[in-house]
Amino acid sequence: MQIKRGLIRDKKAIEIIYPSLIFIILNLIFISMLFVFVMRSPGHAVAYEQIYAKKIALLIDRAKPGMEISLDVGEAQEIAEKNKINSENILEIKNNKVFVSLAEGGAYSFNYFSEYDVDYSVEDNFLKLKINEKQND
Amino acid sequence: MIKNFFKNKKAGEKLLSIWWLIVLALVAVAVVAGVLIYYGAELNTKKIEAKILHERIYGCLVEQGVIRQDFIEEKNNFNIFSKCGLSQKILDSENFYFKIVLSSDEESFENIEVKKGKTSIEADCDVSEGVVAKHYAKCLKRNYVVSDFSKKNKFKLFILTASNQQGTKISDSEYNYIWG
Repeated sequence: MQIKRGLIRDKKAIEIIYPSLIFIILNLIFISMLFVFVMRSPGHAVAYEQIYAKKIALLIDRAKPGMEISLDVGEAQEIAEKNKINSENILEIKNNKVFVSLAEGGAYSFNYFSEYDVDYSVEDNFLKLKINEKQND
Repeated sequence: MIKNFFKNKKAGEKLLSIWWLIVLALVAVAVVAGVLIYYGAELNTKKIEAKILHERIYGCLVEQGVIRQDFIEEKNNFNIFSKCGLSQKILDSENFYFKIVLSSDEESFENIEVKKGKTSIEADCDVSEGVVAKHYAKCLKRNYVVSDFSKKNKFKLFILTASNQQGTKISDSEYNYIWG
């Protein structure tokens, strides 16, 4: 072996390094593909739709008239943004139902059993809920 | 160099080994299955809902150990939905059930029993207790001792609440319709 030529020019070194390097790169590509699949899986948004819809419905049921509740929805907004959903359209509270939509393909709906009028707005990253007694029509 | 690489037996062993491909395929299948199972799982909030409903009913009927007088006077005509701020449309449905029994040791007192929602859920409560029963309702039942406003008469109050609510995924068109 001629040390003067260096490692790159060393035929034996090339024979050992390149196959191993390619093997490692292919494995890294494979792992990256799996990682991307996990992070961009459509189920990711569906799971969060369910979490937020249930969380908001339970918060409403647990509340008493006159209460004001703030809920951090920053994560939901991020997911919606990634899925090109307008952040104004991610949430709807109507007819005792909470609807959350974070991706194309509809929304997740969950009922709350309290007969309240719920005013809501999204300010910055927070959902503001105001619980009021139901006004008879 | 490339010529050397393909002729290299060690490289071929690593890259083209059928066993390595099988390992990669197994890992991929496991990850995909794991992701689908995790994201597809239903988040079960039935127990929490049953507890919240229980607390709402108890909080509405009893204040500091004293039962509402109108509940005793109006008996079965007592409108629990309007007086306790509960939605009849939602609770008097397939997914919920609650039962309230007010009884006394005094013979002259006629028991008050209120049952709302899907009555068959009550039988499911016993089945789902202590076992994993995914599609069964989750229940909460408790006995209390309460008194009337004079605090002379004692009553036994039994409250059972149950929820079997599962959320629903609605389509884009349905969601757009809701948005109007």
